[in-house]
Amino acid sequence: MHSRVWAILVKETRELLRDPVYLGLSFVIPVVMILLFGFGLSLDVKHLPLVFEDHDRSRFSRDYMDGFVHSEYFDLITVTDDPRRVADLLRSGRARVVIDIPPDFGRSISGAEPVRVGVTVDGSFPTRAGVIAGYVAAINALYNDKLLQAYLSRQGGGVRAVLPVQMDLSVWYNPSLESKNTIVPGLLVLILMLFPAILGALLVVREKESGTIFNYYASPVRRWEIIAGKVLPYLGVAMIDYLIIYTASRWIFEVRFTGSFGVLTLGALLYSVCTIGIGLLISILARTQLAAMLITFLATVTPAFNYSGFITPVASMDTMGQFVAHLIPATYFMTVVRGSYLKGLGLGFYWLELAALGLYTLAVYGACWALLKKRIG
Amino acid sequence: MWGRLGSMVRKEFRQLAGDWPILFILVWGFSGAIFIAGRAISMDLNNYPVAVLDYSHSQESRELIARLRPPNFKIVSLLASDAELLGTLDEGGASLAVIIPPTFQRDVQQGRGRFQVISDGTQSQMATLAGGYITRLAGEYAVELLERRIGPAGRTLARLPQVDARVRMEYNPNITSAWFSSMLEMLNMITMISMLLTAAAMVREKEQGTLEQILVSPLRPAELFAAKIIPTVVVILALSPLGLFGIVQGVFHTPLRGSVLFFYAVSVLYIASVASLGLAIAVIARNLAQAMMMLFLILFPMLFLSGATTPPESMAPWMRYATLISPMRYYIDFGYQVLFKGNGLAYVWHDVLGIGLMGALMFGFSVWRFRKMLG
Amino acid sequence: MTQATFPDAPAGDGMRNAEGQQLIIRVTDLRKRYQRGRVPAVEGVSFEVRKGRVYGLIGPDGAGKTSILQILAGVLSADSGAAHLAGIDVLARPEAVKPLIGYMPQGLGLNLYDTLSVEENIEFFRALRQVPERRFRENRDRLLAMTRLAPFLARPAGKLSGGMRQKLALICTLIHLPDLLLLDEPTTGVDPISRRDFWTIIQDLVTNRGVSVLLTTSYMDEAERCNFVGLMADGEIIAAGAPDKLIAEMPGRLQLVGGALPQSLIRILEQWPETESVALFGEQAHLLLADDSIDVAARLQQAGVAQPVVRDIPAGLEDVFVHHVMRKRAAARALGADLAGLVADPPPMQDSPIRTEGITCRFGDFTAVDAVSLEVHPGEILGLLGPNGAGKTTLIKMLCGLQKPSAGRAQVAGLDLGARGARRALRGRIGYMSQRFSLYRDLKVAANLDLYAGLYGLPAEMRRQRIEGLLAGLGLAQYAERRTVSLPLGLRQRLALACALLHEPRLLFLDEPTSGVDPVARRQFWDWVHLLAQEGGITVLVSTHYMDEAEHCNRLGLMHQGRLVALGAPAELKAAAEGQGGPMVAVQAHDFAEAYQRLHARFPDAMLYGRRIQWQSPEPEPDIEITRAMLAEAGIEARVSRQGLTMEEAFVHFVEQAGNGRA
Repeated sequence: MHSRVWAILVKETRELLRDPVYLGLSFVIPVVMILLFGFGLSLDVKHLPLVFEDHDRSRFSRDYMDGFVHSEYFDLITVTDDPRRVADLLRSGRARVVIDIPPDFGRSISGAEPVRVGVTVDGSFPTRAGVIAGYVAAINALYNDKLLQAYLSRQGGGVRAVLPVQMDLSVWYNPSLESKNTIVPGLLVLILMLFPAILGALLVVREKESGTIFNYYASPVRRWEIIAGKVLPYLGVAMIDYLIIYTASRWIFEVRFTGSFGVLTLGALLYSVCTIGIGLLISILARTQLAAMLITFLATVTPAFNYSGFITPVASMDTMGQFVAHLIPATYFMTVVRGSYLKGLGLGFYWLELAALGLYTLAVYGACWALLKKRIG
Repeated sequence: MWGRLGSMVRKEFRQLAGDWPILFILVWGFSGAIFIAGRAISMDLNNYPVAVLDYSHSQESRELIARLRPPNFKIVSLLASDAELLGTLDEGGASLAVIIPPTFQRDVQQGRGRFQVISDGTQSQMATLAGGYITRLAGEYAVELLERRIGPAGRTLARLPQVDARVRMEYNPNITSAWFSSMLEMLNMITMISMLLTAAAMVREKEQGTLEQILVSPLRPAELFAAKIIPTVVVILALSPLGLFGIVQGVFHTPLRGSVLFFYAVSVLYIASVASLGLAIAVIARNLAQAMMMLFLILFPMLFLSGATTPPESMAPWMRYATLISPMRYYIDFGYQVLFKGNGLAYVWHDVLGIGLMGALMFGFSVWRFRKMLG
Repeated sequence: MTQATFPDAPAGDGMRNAEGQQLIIRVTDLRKRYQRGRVPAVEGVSFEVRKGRVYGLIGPDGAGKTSILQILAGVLSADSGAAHLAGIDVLARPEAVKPLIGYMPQGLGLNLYDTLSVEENIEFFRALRQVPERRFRENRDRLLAMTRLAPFLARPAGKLSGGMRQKLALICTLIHLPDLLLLDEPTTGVDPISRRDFWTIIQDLVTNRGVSVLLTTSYMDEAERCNFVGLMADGEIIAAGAPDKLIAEMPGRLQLVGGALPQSLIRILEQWPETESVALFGEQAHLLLADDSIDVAARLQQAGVAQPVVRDIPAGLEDVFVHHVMRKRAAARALGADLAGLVADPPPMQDSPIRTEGITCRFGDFTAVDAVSLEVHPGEILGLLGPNGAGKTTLIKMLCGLQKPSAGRAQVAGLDLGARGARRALRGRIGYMSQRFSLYRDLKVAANLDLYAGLYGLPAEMRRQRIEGLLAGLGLAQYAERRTVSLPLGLRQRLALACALLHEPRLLFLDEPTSGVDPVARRQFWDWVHLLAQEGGITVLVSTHYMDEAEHCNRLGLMHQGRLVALGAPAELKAAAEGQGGPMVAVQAHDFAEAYQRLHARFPDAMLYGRRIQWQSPEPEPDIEITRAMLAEAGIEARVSRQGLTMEEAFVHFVEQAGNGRA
């Protein structure tokens, strides 16, 4: 290998291995994060505390309640007819949803009359509230379906005992809709964004602060040699992180993986080169380590979290959102990651994303090269 | 003691007053950042991208498709073949596909119409939400058809034996996510700024060597720490109303049902607690880079596991217990209960206790560690 | 010169001066300002450096030395002017000069990577410069032997002493054998032994390899080792020439004056219109008069000094500097403006303000202070002299209660440091000025004073009076509303002194108070210290690594590697060292390079000081005879003489003696 690049590479590697801060940022925190969030974080809304305010206390109300009690989404806290107790439970947050069954519930149902139940959802956490409303509606619809079929069959005659339109819902790629299949691959994208970028952000600014930057400035070393020598060791770090996260995702979290490891690795490689480059660019522009770290944090994590498709599909964003999404490398890699883990697609599907990452990388390093002046002023 | 502490506090304010970048970040944190968070994309089902493959081209299929409209759904492509459908889902162009078979019209008229929905499960939560919404849409359409058919001869839908589950959203009737997210951002900001500002102020004394000169003066460690915490508390108390009244209430019209005074009283305790955590980090760290790394290590889990983004109910049990050591967990619960629900001390006393206990622990630890460092 | 015989010597480049001598650097009217022209750094500097010579840029921090070096190294742009290096236009083609140069930035080993070992650091620089293997090995082994770093190859650079770091930094800068060495303050804070090694290498490179050197320094005594110096102040070269020539050309007359209380002496002398500068050295003053025909003794008698002592003394480069700066700045002296604000009424004499017995401080297996026993008398200025890492700072920190001793006993200001609560009680009784400037740069001068007045619990009514008194007394009143960061180093140090004096301590600790401060400000600072001790009755323990500052102290403790190797009055120490190791033999010859090569072979200790060669000799008379005979035989015309020891030479003597004693 080119000896000056090699010299810088060896030096960077030695410094990395001997400095607890960089070792920590390189390996410890990423691994802690994947384990912590992989095990602990879940977007599934389950076991919601539910209270019934039953003023009917009939066979019918119990039948209605059964539908909720037997679902894994709700945990029944209590059944009561004391409105003050109910209000207290909702206020204190010990109950997230209250279903108020009126006194005439059983009578109405048996008399084939419509009846209204009151559902009160704690709206202070809107996302959760929306999901709760959906669950309630679905369980209620099941109950209605049952009622209607029973009624229609009793009526007999020309009316068939089923609804005229039925929907078959099938879920692809993640049939059980487990959130770990969403979160763990998403974390791969976020972690490979944040840590390579932060480490990259320290690469040049650290030598600026310590004064060793003059070793490069005052020697015949070329700009691309500095960049290559500094980036390569951290590319190694990023790829080790990638392998650790990949291994953990497959064999600790048992995330579905249906695609090609080769394609995913290629994507991770391109993406890491790119994210280190973004950090490096910030490092070249910033004067202090603190500034570099704060800028990196603001410029990488928040956009990647909000706009990469981690939470909301890119296609559902408004024009501005889609513009931002296509401006950050995380979006392209997210497509590759999701596809590789869950969709089982081959290289042919990702050439566009991979090409975009490649172009992005070229642009970032081009800017690094142009802005890295071997001068201080 | 008040003279010494007062001098030190005055000095901290003088330094802060001359630090324009930090002041800018502070003001931004309590205005722009909260505004952006309130406006940011939410986790509601908004314009969920749908692809339609309609082999029927009938009145019925068109009626069905017409129901997939904003704000929840948005039809992004009308497809012609199964192959196209596969491609669209694979590429992520659409997250939901509706396939209506050629015989749909005839089947519906015979009372056994079926259509197929394929949902992309890669984002599990969105897929769950979307599945719920479209199931409801289909059900409504079916009942409407039924009603239309038996309507003239029999009873109208309103007279069928059906349970109408009217959902009422308490505290946030239209589940406006801006109410929630702007408030969350403000509580997050209070947390982050308390910790960062205090830690940075302390590490800076270390790095610039000014700590040494302070240490030969009669100032006691507890006074030094108090002098670092007090300005943080005051600055946040002064700036956060900008976020609370200006943005959260002013821009997003979030109702503040509880006692704002009570909220701020406990916030003082909370800011001091989290600032103590920042001090503990600053005492251990040798330089700014180390302090930043430790802050990362602590802030990430604190923000993610505060109970606001991940419901505590769905955390693994061990993690739910682990969050008990995070003062932020108590504060988030406290903040929403007081400001949003209008609860008083009777409902949140355990949160206040938690915040106070964790704060006392952190402050004690910092002072102990600092004394030990001095030998 | 013998450069033709060395294949690595720089090739001719055609740049010559008026006398036809080959030049390596030519700088013409160079200018540089920072922050969009608001902060001037270099204000029209022109100079030339001859090939194979050592050129020194001498001046305090902020004089513009570093900027010039950085421009020549191609790492800083210039606003206007021209700079040529070996015939290459540096401003137009900065990359072209980089293979030719070795640049060492300011600060102890700042170009080193702390976590990398000595060997790994050298290897990195070799690879960065792509030095061919054979040349690398040869050069490396030679440099390691000269610096005596070979046994430490595996040690991380961060764990080397300051002197060793700086020597390693030099090796790394030299590993590719550059034609031109650009060294920025290479010896600041370095111990005398390492400094000697350092200069040995430089001399070897210059004489044997034809390497040229441009270096900067704030040590005046070191400047005398250069062939040529440029004295810099405020971005300009105010005087340039060979050191001995500059001294010889200085107009006026330098005299040592005594015979009265120093503070009254200084007030009398300051009022004379002919006085260019006056500075206190211990009990006496150095007086520089523009007019050398004045009878100083007679005038003093007129002014009421009964028995004046007046003696001519030789000027040093520092006197030359002060002379030129004074002429340029026409600075008004602030001293004596309002002493009432500075010192309180003399207190009753204390019994020994400091007494230590075998006080020791260990960090792991490293002993920073090794069983130091000393006693400081009331009202005395005791100096701790030694390089960085000698243990001065740690000793002072222990005495201030900032660092717990590992062993030994210490009594400070009447308190036994080991006793419970003593460290807290001590804080109100002592003043401390730490090594680095440790006040708040982002605060105004008055705000800093206000803070410390509050911290020391000064009552409100006293606070204002005391702060105003100190501002006036130290000449800081006009800067009260200025931000501290905008003040030059000398003024900052005055502010630090003011903060340390706020609570009227009886005992003052000053840790390297004058590092990097320009000579004029340094002299002024020392004047105040004298006044505090003599009029205020304050006891002062002060540390420094400037050998020439030793003369300001009543007594000196020489520290090396944690140990106190000698203690006594400056004159006593010099006399003792001379008595034990003999005086210096000095040779001044026109063809000094040739003379040096011959004498070095016979006397391995011989060192080159600019054009002078000298070494310490236990048997001066025979050595002088031998030298004269040798030089006569070689046909070299020379003056050989016997000279007294300087403080630095005395220091080296004691350190070597201590080392031998232990070995």
